[in-house]
Amino acid sequence: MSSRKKVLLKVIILGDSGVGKTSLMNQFVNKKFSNQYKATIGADFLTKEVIVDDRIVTMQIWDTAGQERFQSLGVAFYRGADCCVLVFDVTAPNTFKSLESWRDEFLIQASPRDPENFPFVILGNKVDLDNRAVSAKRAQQWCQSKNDIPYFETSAKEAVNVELAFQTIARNALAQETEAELYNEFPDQIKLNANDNNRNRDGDNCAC
Amino acid sequence: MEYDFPNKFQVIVVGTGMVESIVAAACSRIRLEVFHLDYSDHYGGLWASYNFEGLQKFIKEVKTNPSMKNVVYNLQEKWYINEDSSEEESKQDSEDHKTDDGKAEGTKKIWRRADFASEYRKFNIDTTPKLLFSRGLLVELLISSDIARYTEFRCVTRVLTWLNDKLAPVPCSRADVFATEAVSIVEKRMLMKMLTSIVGYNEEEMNNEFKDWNDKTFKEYLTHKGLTPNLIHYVLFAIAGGTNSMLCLEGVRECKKFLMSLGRYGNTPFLWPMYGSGDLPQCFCRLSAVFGALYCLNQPIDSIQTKTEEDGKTVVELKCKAKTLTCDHLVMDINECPKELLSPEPEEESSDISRAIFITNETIMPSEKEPLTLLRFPPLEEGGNAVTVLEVGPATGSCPKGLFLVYFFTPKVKDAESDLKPYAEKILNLSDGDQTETSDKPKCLWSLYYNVKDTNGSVRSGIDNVHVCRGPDAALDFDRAVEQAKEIFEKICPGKEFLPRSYRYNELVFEDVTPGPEFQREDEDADGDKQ
Repeated sequence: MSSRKKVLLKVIILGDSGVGKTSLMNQFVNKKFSNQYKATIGADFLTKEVIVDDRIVTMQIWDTAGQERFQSLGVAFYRGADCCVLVFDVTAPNTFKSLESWRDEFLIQASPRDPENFPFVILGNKVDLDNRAVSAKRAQQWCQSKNDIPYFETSAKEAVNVELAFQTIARNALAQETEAELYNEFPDQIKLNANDNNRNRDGDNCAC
Repeated sequence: MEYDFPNKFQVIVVGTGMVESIVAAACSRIRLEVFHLDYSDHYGGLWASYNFEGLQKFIKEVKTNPSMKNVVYNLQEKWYINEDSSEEESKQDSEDHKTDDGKAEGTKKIWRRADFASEYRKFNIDTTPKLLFSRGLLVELLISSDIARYTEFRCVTRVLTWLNDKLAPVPCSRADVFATEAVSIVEKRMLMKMLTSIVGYNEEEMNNEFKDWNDKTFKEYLTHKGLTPNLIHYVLFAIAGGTNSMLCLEGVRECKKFLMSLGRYGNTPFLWPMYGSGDLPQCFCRLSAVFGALYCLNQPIDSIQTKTEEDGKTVVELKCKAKTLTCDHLVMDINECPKELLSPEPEEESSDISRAIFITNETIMPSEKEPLTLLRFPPLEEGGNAVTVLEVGPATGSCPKGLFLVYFFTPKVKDAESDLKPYAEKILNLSDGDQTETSDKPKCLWSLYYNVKDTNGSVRSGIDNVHVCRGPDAALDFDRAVEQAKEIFEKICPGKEFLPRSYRYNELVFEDVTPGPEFQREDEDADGDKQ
């Protein structure tokens, strides 16, 4: 293969229940929005190809599948993440306060190689609503205090900043993944799929 | 913390071990309302993997929690490294190692206890290490349900046996058989003929061919077939994983299972889950959650009883944290199940399991690339049990660079230490000596021996809607867990499809949308991955 290796980025979205994690994913990937609180099925992971600096990369965005509701996300969920998106609801201050513990939880569970420089992106969602309770300034200050995490104000409903935010997520995840690659001495993990010809793999056997 | 959720479910699952998690996923998948909980703060129960700190907590809990005492017992934890002294120079030394990430060739890192503490997160230590046969029930289930998308595996790179008082690689693929110098050409042909015929038998032919061998041993059969002692050793101990007393048909079946799984993913028939077996139940739980099951860790149960409702229907009632929950079916880890619900007599006799975990500073047998090893020990004493050994390294995400984890397990005879130490001593240096001393065996740095109850039991008759799940067994693979989960699912919803392939990718389905066609079954072999 002469072309560069296909890149798959695992992005996970964290934040309190109801802040719009699934909606943001759905807006970004499917350009759809539903007022229903809970997706009945399918809040799993969504994939989308994006172009970052002339490279095609596949973003695999993992939803919490509701397991965050009672602090019941298992460690397996966090494995191998290339970027972590933390979402809060600008109309609900509690969800903003939770960011700190979500960030800590991520660092503990995912235990990235270089926690100091692991890419996070913060999204303040639901800016379309009138009853805003967390100011942009407050959110920005917090992000700055955490090693300058990029911050975006989004509306999944009205598709405000969603594209832009996910572009940044992809870019930062790619930087992380490229670095991780350098340290990965054991690249031949196996993904199972119905196709048995899995022996000559070069790292792009994603089954999705 | 407020727990605001409904109090009526079709299925409540207590415990997040392998069997419970598969059942939860299967029920949720066909859209039953499932509530899945665990008293503990992590997934997996006795099937869990722990980092080094988590393992310490587990050991402590087992020793102090009275309800765990009969389940996991005879724990013996031991360090083979001295308590860290105040020698500052050694600290300096380890700092150096850290910055170069252990890449200094030739010089082996001297491990201190503090290094285990600082790198604790790089460990994923299995309490129930198991392998998957490449064409075994679990692999097929992961593929057919598409739960495989949540996880990755590594191939076991070699199968070893203990022959003539030393470690020997077992030729298991056709290529291996022909490449090996351990057996003569005549033996090679004999072996290939034998193995080929075993693979060729279907169930009927097998019963036919072996009808006169029902009460005879596999060894007698192999001897009858004219195999040399070396070949008998390979086939009986390494491939079939048996002992001298293994029955013929059982041996043939085990061989067939081994051979059928060859050539799918690697040079051996086995796969090891990345980060250990403890991630597997979580994959099933995730699918279950994706289909709407409610998940709640840290949720102990205070009481369980059955209740007959006005319409004559029997439901199960659970009390937890001042909340009363009812369900049509309760699926429960047997170790969590109140004694009153269980029959006093277990379903069948079973032996408990002796297990040991060793952390060493190199592999039991050097190889070019990092090895992932299955070693099957024949019994060292006549009449004893075979011992299974799995060695995994950093590439599996199980331990920091420079270390290996070596798992031993066997049916319990006396206690874990007495049962396993004689085997461990054959391949590991269990002395307290210096890590720099030259030895032909890897130096053990830390070990843990423990026994686990092999739970086997049934619910008292009359309670049709409580289903107990056994804990881990002593087998090499997960087949029994899958079979058991299927049986339970079949009782809860007879005739329903067990974990069909999930759904269209990249679409969310909302309640306000009329559900479309559930799922279109594709030709199993032709489809592969949807793009």
